[in-house]
Amino acid sequence: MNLNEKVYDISEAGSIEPEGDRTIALQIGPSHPGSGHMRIKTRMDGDIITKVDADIGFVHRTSEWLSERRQFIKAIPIVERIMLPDTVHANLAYVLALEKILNIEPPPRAQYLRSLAAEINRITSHLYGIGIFGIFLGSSTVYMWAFGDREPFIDLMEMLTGARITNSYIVPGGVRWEMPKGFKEKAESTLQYMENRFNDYNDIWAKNPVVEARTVNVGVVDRNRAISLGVVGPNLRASGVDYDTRKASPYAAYKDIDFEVPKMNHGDSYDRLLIRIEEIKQSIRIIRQILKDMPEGKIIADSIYSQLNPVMKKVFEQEQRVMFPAFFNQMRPAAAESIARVEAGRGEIFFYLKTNGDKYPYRFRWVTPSFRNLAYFSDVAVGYRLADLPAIYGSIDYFPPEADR
Amino acid sequence: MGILLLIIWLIQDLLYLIVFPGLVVAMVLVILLIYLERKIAAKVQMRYGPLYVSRKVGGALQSVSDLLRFSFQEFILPIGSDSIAFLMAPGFMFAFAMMPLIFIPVGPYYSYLFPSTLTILFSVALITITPIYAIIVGWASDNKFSFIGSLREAFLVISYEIPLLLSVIAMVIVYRTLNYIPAVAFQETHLPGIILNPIAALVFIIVAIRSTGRFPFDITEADSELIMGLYTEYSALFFGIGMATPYIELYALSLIFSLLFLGGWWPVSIHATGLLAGLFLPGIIVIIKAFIVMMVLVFLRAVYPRYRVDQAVRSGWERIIYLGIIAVIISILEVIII
Amino acid sequence: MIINNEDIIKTAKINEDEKKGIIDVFVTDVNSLKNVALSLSKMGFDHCLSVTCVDYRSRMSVIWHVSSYSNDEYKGHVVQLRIDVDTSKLVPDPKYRAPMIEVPSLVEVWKSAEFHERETHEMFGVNFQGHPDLRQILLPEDFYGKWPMRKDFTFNKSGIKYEFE
Repeated sequence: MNLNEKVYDISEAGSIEPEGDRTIALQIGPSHPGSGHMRIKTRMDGDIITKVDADIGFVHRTSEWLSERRQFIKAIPIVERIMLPDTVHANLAYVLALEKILNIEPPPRAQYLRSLAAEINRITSHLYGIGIFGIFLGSSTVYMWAFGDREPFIDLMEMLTGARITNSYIVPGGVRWEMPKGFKEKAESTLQYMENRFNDYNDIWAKNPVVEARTVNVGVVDRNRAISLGVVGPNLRASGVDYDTRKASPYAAYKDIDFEVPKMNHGDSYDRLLIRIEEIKQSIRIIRQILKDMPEGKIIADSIYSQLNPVMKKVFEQEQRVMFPAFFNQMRPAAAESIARVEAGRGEIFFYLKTNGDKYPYRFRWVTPSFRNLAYFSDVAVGYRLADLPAIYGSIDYFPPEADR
Repeated sequence: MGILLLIIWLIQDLLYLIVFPGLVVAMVLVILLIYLERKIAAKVQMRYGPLYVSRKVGGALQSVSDLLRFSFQEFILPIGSDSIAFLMAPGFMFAFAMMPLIFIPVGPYYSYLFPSTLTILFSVALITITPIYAIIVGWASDNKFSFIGSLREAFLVISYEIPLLLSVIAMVIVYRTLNYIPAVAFQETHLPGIILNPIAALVFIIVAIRSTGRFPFDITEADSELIMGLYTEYSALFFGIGMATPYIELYALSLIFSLLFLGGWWPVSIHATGLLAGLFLPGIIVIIKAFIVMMVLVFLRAVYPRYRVDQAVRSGWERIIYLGIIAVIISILEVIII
Repeated sequence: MIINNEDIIKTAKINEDEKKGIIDVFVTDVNSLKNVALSLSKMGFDHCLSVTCVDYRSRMSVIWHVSSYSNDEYKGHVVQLRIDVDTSKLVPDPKYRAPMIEVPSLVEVWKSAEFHERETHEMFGVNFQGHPDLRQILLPEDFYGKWPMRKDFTFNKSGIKYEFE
């Protein structure tokens, strides 16, 4: 790099105010308790925000580049690490894209197990979001509660998949583990625990007068604006758009499951707060249905099962656990392209996978929900007060590592 | 002989000032309060709180260890700061937060260095000085977040000072004195102030929460907006002093509250004599009452998030001030009727 | 046929793959790209999911994935608006490691494409003409002009040379 070349304009960064400008520049982050791994460059006129520029990329890990230089199966752990509270969904989206290219259809039981893991993961993701929002508004109680109540669900995931967070549970053709004995009872008691906690959350969080004062009519995004900004997930539904990928293009077992998509009308921070609690209730309903209607059968597609060697088949019969056949490491899918859309906790994940007959993906495009929710900063926060910025940031459940990939 | 008496009188007063109920008790109470605040909030929030420092007594020495850590940390003076103001302001803040204690008697026989019949007036007047140094801190730090914090402090001080004075004036009208000891005597013969004028008590409590920065008015130190507010650039002991100041203020305000509204050293009579009943027992009772008030106020952090600055200022000018005026009117009516 | 707009059928090659869920709209002429995008937007494809680029060395293909929130019929479909740019005839620019390719920006049509186009710009060196704010978004400032996601990108640091293939 030529050192004389001016690559970074100081005045643009906001350290020097132009003459005659009555606004001040405030750089929130990257080392700030309310910014996360990003820098929010704001200009303030008094207490009013006049300009917001979200500078992201501080935790960019070149994940797309890395995944294009590995065998297909080895992209699963990378995919999971972009969105740690939402690992199952990222895993699922990638596997769906890959299965479309490989022409594998997983058996029904595997579909149900995928949905089960996804819904447990959605609850943990929403609790994570509620907790972060709590600490942004100054409610340390909600922060601790949400993270504490996330723990039983992570324990459930551990029981189901063998790992707490990065479980790599879903593989092409099915899932890796059978549901263990005693899981249904434990799941039911966890769900009942969560249902009993809703009253506490209402008292201290959703119906708290201070929370209402801080969030009602803050960061209002009406329906048309939400559509034009292209925001995703609960934020979109809080603005009154009836869109959920689970309904729009069903994947896993969602075709057979009866559930509602909660929707709010006003689109302010308070609606975005409420809709996450509503979605947790729906997820509980879905998990109950899945546990009741779970079909019997194999957890891996026959085409994958037939590739297991005798030792692996023995392990599968005894421990109900899928060991990786050599095919996973050596697969060279024919030239094709596919997309996958998955409704993760924070919104829709979109993956575009392109193969050319090689053992690496030729192009693997990742679009994460937080990256699409980035528009909330630059477009929505303008005109509100400085103290509203955390109220908007927290309510959209933005996760910088997920946006930066 | 006269000189000896003077020396004894001075030593006695210095003991009052430094040991009981002054600096030492205040520091012990603050350390205890911070520990209990963290422990009780932790209980509500499904966690342990301080535990690993002195595990046998449930982590009670955590605050002491924090204090020691602050004392031996490296102090950093920011380049752009106004260094004299930066160094002096926390000290003055702390001193002026302590100063109301001179005029707050915790028993019928306490006479301090400055015997006066206007102790209520003096103590309340001294309480209003601390925020000026908070503003200086924000200015001297040369940090935008500190500066915004101090601006917020200024806005809030102006909007909440008047209700505080109105609430005290309401009680002064009822007691017909500007001295704490007759005010407590009045409560002993009649009723505690909180029953005589509950509106004034409410206003006082709200202002006490506000001026000491407890939740939901933790606005000047809102960490998700302003990092650490006023104290963003501070480190080491100066940061510790800055953090302790609101607690000292809280202690002073709680003492005033227990004297003006909770009957002071009731049930011990104002005519009690002797070292125990006349000196220590009233003091301990007042401090226990004040401590309970402090506990209630710091516990609010487990319940409420924080308001926005404009909401707090608006509620100060549009609601609390009218409550203060109503409290004064109630007092005037009571005086007329009684 | 999901896409029944005549303007689009006339100017673009449409390939609907129900199984994979992609409707491929391949625009051959750069000048008609914006019109096709506007027609799609008028049909009800109201938001942009992703903007990306695939480097085939001799040509590069820029892809906009769009879908619909408001139209129930289109909700389950993703339109892949695609355009190919020939890279063999580009003039090298000393400022950049490899020459930039130029395509029109579709931010005016889909505002949601703004950040995706910024990312594709810095990763692939695609100059989106008409983009209101074409800056870097993820990469550090000294990485501008390297176009790291192109297939001919290599780096050599600490003795480790990494090359594709």
